[in-house]
Order: sequence, then structure tokens, then C-alpha cells
Amino acid sequence: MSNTLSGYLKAIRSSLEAAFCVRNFASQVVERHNKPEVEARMSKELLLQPIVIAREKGEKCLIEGSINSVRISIAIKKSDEMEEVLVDRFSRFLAQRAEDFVILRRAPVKGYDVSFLITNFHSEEMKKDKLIDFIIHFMEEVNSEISALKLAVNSRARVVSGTFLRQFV
Amino acid sequence: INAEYMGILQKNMTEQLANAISCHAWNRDQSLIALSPNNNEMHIYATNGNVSDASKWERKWVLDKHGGPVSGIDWAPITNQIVSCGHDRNAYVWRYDEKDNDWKPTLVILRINRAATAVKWSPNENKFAVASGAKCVPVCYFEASNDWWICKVIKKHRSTVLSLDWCVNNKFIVTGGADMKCRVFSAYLEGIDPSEDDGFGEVFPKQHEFGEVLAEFDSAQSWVHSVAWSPGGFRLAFAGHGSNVSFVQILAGSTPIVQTVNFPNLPFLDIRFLSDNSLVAAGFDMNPAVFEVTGGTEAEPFWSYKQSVDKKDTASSSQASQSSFGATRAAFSATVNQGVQFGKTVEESSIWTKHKNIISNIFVFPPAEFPATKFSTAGLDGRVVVWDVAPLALK
Repeated sequence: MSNTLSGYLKAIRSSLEAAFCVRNFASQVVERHNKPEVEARMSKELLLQPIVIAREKGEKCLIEGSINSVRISIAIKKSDEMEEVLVDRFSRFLAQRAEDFVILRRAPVKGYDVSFLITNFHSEEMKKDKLIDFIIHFMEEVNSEISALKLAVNSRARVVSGTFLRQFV
Repeated sequence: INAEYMGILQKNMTEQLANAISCHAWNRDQSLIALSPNNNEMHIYATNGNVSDASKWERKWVLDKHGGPVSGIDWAPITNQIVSCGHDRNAYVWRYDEKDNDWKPTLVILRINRAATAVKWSPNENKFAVASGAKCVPVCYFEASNDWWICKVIKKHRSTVLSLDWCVNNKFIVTGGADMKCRVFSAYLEGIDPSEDDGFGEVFPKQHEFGEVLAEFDSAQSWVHSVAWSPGGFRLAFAGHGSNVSFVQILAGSTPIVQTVNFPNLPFLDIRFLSDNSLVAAGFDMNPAVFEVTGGTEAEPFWSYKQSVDKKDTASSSQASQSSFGATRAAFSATVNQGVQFGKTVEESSIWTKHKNIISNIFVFPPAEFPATKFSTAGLDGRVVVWDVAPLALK
């Protein structure tokens, strides 16, 4: 299990190291503007080919690059309905705090659970290798976070139902 | 300061002049350097004789005429004029006023409606060309009768022009852009340039038609971040986002020969020739790399990657603290000051190169005098590092 995870993360890391090569680029469509081209998508020649790295059907990572920005979208594995609800809650919790997160995108890309948007301005302020470390670490931890949440929900349900039904005993 | 604590700090850390530096240029005798700290200002520092030690430099002028980030600076060595261009669609030519001890700007109307990305003086310093996001390159010259700079525009690009360079004959420019092509244009201006043939007549029959595409290369297959023309005038190079550098040999009477060298690491953002046979490139790797002619003939050279200029300093990394108390204290201060996970050794997590972020710009000096003796790199980490060419043992 962990074998495929490390291979998956290694592939993502090397793709990110290439995709993070972004430079300052003033918009060529709108005067005096500087937009992340991966979001604006106004000029086809400025976008790189998007790549999907998938571990299995429900667990994949989409990396869309451009000349001045990168968008990384992650789909987290959801094996049952409970996990679907938990992942949805978890990603909404993060996305609502996207402003403090700086690199998080407020809405995930369609088909994915979490999206990051990193521009050349972020790479000027933050170290590239630390950013990549953070994203890889996030992906490593998110699965264990979800299973921990699931365990917590199940154990709380057991405790609550036990306490409630005790009055009928 | 505790000697053991100092052991963690990397030796010879270059002084940080700003948060990030987008572009820089030196004057002829390296007594002054002009740089932009990635905003609309241009700072001029005096080196006071210490070219290699940035901590000894003194900031003398802050020029903030631009309305947007300054994207290109070039210093004409003989006429001592600085030209700067920015994302505010303007270019200014700065002339030093001895009386006021200040730099006086002259606005140049570029007639572009998008940002300017790069600017270079021509070798005779009577013209300069500006690369822009308006998919065109204005070539500006000084009209003495009206006492201002006017421009003639080269079109024919399909996307933002990212970089340009002049040929030594003052007539041609090579450009590279986001449309993934490298093109050679004629920037010949009647009345400014001599109409005699200077050896390029056989190579480019339309050499005296302004704006004419003399050659086009697409071997980069990716955005062309930087282009350079060799000091001899018969070689070109351009660097693409695919981590490749293509070398072009211009031949009289036949099509130019292109050789593409693939680089195993991250792409380059700026390349400059150090001589006719060697070239330095730097970019996302934070480490300048040198390419050299390693074989072939004068007419058909074979280029290859020689070495990276910044070398890992193995001596300082083995400097460990003797006592366990000192080692724990060192680990703790590393966590506090550098964000290193507690216990992890500093060598693993810190960046060992002199530049801590990508290198945006190279400037070779003495300007316009070859072979070069030194070159400086400026990066988005706010440092300007000066490198010697001699230890590289180039041909």
C-alpha cells in the first residue's frame, strides 16, 4: 500500500519541480494587468499540456502549468459514502480559509477536491522546494486525516448511541 | 555571537540588496550598478571599488519614474546613458547631470499598448530596441532636430516577445518569444546605419530592409526565454523552456546550422556569450551553467555543456559542533530561524547555491569587450553575485 504511495508522490514531486518554473508575465490581452495565465486561459500558447498522475480511479492529481502560474488539483480517495461526506466537509473547511492559506484556491477544479494556485509572485516570496514539500506532505497526510476523522465519527456514534439507548435498558 | 551558532550560517552568504531583483546593468568601469528591486523603482549603487562584495555597496540614487514594474535595464558603456523599460508601456533614457548629481529621464513614446519585457542598446549606442507584450519590437533612435527619441516598430511576432539581442554590426536583432520561435530581423535605419555591406550581404540578401525577417528558428519547441548574439557576429544562441539551448552558426551562402543541446536540469532564463566559443546560462536551477565549443570546426562547431559555475562547498558542510549541548542548541536555532524540522541536519534542507531563488538576469563585463573577465547574476532572492571567468578555464 505504502509502496504505491511513495511512487505516486515521487512522480508528483518531479512533475511539480518542472511545472513550478514560472516567471513574471504581464498580460498580453489586457493592458497593465498581470493575471495568472492558467486561470485566465486567454492565450493558448502560454499554457502547458496538463498532466494527470493517478494512483487509482478516485485518487489522482492534475497539474496544469502555464508561463506564470501552476494549478494543482487533488482528488482524494473516497471508499464509501461516509468518506465522501467527510472529504467534502474537510475540503470546504480548507477552501473557506483559502485567503489565509495564500496558495489555496477557493473552489476546487471540477472533478477534484482541493486545488492550489501558485503564481510567480508566490515563488518570489516562498522557497520553491518548501512549497513542493508542503504539497507532498499535504497529500501524504490527507488520507490519514480522513481515516482518523472516520474513526472519530464511528466511535462517537457508538458512544452516543450507547448512552442514548441505556435509558431504555 | 556564539561561534557554534555561526557554524550553521552558510559561509560567504552574499548580501541581500532587496527582496527580489528583476534586472540589472553595470556601467563601463563597474563603479556603478543599476538594478530594479522587482517594482517600479530603479536603484543605482556605487561599488566603491568592491565589485565582489555587495555589503560594501552604497545606494546613491533611487529613480522612480516608472508607473509599473521595471522589466529591463541596459547601460550604454560609452555614452553612459541608461535605458529602462517597464510594464507601464514606457521606456526612459536616463542621462547623468553632473551639475545636479542626478539622473534626468527622457520619456520615449514606444507606441506599444502592452508591457515592455526587455530592452537593449545597440553596439554603437545610437539605437535601442524594446521587446514587448504587444507582439512587436520598437527600435528607437534619437532625432537631434526635435531632441527626442522616435521609434520604428518591427511586427511579425505571434505572441509576447520575451528577449532580444543586437548583432555587432548594429543592424540586426535576434528576438525570442512566447510563440516559441527565434527570429532574426533587420533593424537597419537609413541615415543612422552605414549602407555598405559588412559581410552579411551574402548571408541575408534583404539585410537593409527594416523589419524584414532574415531567419526563423523553431528548434526550441517551447517558449524562448532568452536569445544572444556572439561577439563575432556569426553565432547565435537561444534558450527554450524545454531546458534546451540551441546554437546557430550563420554561414555565408548556405542555410544556418542549428545544434540543440539538451540540459538535464531546469530551464534557463538568461544566456550570454562570454566569447565566441563559450556561453553562460542561468535560470531556474539557481546555478549558472557554462556551454563551450568542444569539437567540430570553425564553420561547424560542436557545442556541449561544460560545467556549472557554483560548486558545493564540501568543507563548510562538515563543520559540526563538538559538544552535544552546542549541537542541540544549533538544531534548535535552525528550527527557529530557518524553519528546519527539529533534528534534521541543515545540509539536507537548505539550498547550497549562492543564489537562493531563481536567477533572472546575467550581465557580462567589461561590457562590449571580449573575451569577458567576469559576469554577474541577479536573482529573485535579491542578490547580485559576481563570478570570475578565469577559473572556468574556457578556450
